Amino acid sequence: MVATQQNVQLFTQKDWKTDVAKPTWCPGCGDYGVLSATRKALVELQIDPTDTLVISGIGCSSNFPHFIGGYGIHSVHGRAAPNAVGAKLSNPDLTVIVAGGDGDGLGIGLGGFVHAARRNLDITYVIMDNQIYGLTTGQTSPTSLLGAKTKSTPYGNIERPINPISMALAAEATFVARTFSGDAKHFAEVMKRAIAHKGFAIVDALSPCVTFNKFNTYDYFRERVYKLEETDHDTSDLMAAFKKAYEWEFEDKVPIGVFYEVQRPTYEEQELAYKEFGNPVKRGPQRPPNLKKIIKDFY
Amino acid sequence: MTQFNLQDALKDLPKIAPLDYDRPVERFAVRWGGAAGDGLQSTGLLVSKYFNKLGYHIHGVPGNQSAIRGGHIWYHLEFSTKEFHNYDNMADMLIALNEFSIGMHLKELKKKGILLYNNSKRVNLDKFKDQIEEKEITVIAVPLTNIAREIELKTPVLGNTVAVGAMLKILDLPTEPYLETLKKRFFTKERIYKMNEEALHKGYDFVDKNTSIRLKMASTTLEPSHGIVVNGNHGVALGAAAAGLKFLAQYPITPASSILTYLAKNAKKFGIVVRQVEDEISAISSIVGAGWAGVRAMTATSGPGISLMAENIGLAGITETPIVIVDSMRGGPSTGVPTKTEQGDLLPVINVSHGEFPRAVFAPRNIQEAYSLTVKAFNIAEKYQMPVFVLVDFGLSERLENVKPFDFDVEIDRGKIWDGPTDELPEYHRYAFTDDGISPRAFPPSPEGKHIAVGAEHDIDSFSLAGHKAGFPEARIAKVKMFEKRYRKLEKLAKEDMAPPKWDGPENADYTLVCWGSVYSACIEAMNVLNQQTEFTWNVLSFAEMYPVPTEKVKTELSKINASIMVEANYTGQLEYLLWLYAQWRPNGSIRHIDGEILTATRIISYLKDLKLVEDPYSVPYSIPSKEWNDVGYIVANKASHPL
Repeated sequence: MVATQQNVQLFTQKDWKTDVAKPTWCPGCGDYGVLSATRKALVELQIDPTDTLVISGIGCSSNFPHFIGGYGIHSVHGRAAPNAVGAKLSNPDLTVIVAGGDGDGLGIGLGGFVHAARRNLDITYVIMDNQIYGLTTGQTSPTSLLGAKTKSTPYGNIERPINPISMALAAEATFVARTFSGDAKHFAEVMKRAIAHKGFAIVDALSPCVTFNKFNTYDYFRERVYKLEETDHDTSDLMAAFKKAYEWEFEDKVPIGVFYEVQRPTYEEQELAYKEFGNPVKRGPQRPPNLKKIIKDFY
Repeated sequence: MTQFNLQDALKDLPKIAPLDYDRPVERFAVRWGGAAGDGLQSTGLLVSKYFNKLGYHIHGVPGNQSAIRGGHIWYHLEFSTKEFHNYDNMADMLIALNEFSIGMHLKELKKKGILLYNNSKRVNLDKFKDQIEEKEITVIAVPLTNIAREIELKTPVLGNTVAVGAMLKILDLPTEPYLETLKKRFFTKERIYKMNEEALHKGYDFVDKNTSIRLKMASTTLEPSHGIVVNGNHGVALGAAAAGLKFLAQYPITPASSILTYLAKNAKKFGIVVRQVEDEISAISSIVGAGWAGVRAMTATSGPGISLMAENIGLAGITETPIVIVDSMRGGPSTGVPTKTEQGDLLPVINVSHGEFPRAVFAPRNIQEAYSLTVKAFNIAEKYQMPVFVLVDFGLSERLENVKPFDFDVEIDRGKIWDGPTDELPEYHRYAFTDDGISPRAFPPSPEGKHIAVGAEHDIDSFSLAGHKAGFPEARIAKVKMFEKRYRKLEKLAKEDMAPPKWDGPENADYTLVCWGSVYSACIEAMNVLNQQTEFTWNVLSFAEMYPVPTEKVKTELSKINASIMVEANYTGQLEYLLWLYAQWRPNGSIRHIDGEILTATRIISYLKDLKLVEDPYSVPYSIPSKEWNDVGYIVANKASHPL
């Protein structure tokens, strides 16, 4: 829930730190950038940690919830999105952030990812995209580039990668962005907009794996990224967003920033069960008051 | 006693009396056969409601195929002046909408029974001449389709209502209550009501003018409208609603789909979030998210869905998240036979998902228990913070019966929810070690309860022991203690909340039928027949609260058995396995019914005739049914070629 008092800092960085002394990531991992930028965005938006749920699947990046305050679920591989859908629908007041890797969301969890997006729940999904399977020590991922040599593709990857941006656009997400963990300021700005967006927001977070991906490095991205905010890109134009989505592939340029943003009614706004009864978790487990009337249907 | 050879005693059983035209009929069974799309199921529901109105006890059972239009389907409706538990195979009247239905069902028509067939279609009765003569069948031809077309050319399904009219005339029953039922069903569709009204009268008048065959129903001992006409899935859905269900996620699958569609229809009224999701993996994942977030959450599926759900069931187990999973069992494995019944998932759900974690399993015996045990499942799930299964099956999900209206004032037990510090727990730890293994739950927005639920093994604060701590001495100790904590819950549950098996029939009987779940109803009917028609006494010991097995209570009840026959609708004897494992108990013989049709008293008795019981079951080494068993005389009657 977003706090309303404008000038009082109710929640600070301290509220978003946990008792875990140190993340499990390798020194230099891009995920550190995701973590600090997310904390910064949450503080700037003055979100209450007790009303926040961070959900992840399995992978290096999926340890994320342990390092950020608030409630969390560190689920099984690929199921963070459907877990998040259930929690959000049970308590629509929660701020829900799903964080997980490219393998978790776009490999094993692709079905859940696509269907969560098209429902347009008010959830933020961050793909911590390092284009490699790190936790299992370096196999190919659904976003590994063509030709990528990994432990499971020793002669080079011959499968075309999934494009997270065009996938998100095709899945009807209402906010689609990309950012780069090498640019802390940009990252925090994009995260802020994504969390504040009412609807399903997808952020493709380029988060280099310094240990197993020797190709898509910080330098690789620094040479190629440019900010969409600094161009005349129209974020309400779906076709323009698709075009930008393919620039990396066809022009070897990596646009970061918001590709597409549109306001559509969220799932929660349309859910009839809330209309009369409100937030399910706050109602407790009592039976529907009009249940007895239903019996007449059975005569 | 110990008369182990039953064959002589059962030689002439079951004695099925021919239809008697001279005495009032107390129990009547009508079998309706036609093509899928002929509207048999909806007619079955209307006729059931009609007989409920008159005060008869009814059972309606569909015989389905996985065909939306054109396959052969049938509907079996039985009604009685007294309460009964299960339909039986044999029908008093066969209503055949086509020739195929005569061929398929004539053998299940009682002696002197009535065949009412639709002669608007070409039917070659000569094919069945021998059977008709031998059984002295009364044949009535009614041009059902032609009469229907006279009313409305494009609505041949009206033929069903014509048949109802004809049946009511034969049974000398009033048409008015049926019109009331139709009026309620089509209250916004005046035209359809009018057409049905005409069809009913035309069927009635046709019989009046063309045949003098009449029966007289005995007056009922039950109150008019004494029950609500529901099926097993209604029982589950209403049990969930009464228990305070707030979130249902489900993927359509036979025979569980009607739980989804019934609750979807009433979601707004009940304030339940009902979602059809993309697959069963998403269904279970989202109810784990919902259960964790603090609402009562459920999914319903059949065997194939359980297979897909396995991983997240384990997540609910290790994170101690309350969820309820309904498994309406169907013929398995894999696709199996989706529209037929089986009790094949008991051991699978007890063991589903890798690793070890506690869960509970309930298997309702009938519609009333489909309701009450679903309520209990929610209470157990929250009290013990674990996944709980409700096992029904096609035969129970789809069976229609008029039961006593459900009592919606059910007890709700949410178990321990963090409500501030206590002497025992001065500060919050999600997985605090307690005597009974149950730690208070907390969910947003509880400020003190913040934690990260984790599928990895964890310590009391839910910190993962899989990362930087794995293998360290404190992590190894914590892991062991966490297993012990979780299994203390199961111990308490088995001791305090799992009911022992239930006895029906005379105490200390010569023979006991031992069964579980929906097969119970057929066992009770068989017991009644056997007590009337043999010189022995029979009773039934039935299980519904399956797992964790309340071992001591179960052993006590099993020790009261003289000689026993296990009755299950599976091939390998899954409860038998469980009882051997937990109580070191074996039956003297077992019936394993796997042809997919709902078990009946007649079937049980015909299986029994083939059984040669062993005197000392403990002398038989345990194995799945094999030739070796037969060699030592431990016959398992599960032959597909068995008569009937």
